[in-house]
Amino acid sequence: MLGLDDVREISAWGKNWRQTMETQPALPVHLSPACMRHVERVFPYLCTKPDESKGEVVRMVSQLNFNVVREDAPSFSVGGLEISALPVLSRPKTLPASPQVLDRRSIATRSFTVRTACATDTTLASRSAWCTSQT
Amino acid sequence: MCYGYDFGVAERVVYISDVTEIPDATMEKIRARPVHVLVLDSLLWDRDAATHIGCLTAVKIAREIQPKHVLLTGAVALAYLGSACDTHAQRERWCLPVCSGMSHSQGDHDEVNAKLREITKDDPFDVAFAFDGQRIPIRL
Repeated sequence: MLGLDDVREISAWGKNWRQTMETQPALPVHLSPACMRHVERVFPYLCTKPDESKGEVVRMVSQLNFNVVREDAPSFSVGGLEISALPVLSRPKTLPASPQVLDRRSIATRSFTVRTACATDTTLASRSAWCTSQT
Repeated sequence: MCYGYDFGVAERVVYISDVTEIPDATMEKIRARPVHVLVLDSLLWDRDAATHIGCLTAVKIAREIQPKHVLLTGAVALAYLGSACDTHAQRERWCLPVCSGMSHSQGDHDEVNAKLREITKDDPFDVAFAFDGQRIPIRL
């Protein structure tokens, strides 16, 4: 996802960029609701359409056309091909965590803590000294 | 949560390129109809990575789905070199610099495919690592 802005190179624009953008449809991007929320946070400039009535100008870049696909959607169409989404997990069993400030006198660094760490968080939160743990 | 994709009527394709775990509901959906080509994530040869399954897990999943053809994608050189390293220290020294390269030589590719054929010789599907630019004829 972090290469998303580079993807716009696929949808090329030429010297006469406005004409190109008018004749070439925006590049479709199909994504989950959660991914859309993430894209809106990380790449806000990719997600807002310029409102020319307010004097906003279309940028000289190819545009993306987001299609949010819900998990329970039966299918979506790409060029006439019906595609169903298959929700799967792609997450680390262990997560690196940045230092966590618990209160004004406490800080915890967990440099690769097991994901199911709710109990650990509770334990850390109950302490009031500098604390470092690593698994 | 991220998405794999499922398309094709005459010959069905299931494409899952980023996965650590397939939920039961999704597996049920996949197994509801025969799969012709299964494209599966496979970053490393001998173990799963943080956000990707490895080759051996991919073979296990393929055995559950029972497609006709399996193509593995997303491999790094570590997939082959990892199996040649005896100790964790060797892995760290030899494999991590290669891992960032996200490529492998043709020799490694063929050797890994030979190993794959060996471990799946009793399975009803064929399995191989895919390659850049590969085209697969499919009746959709």
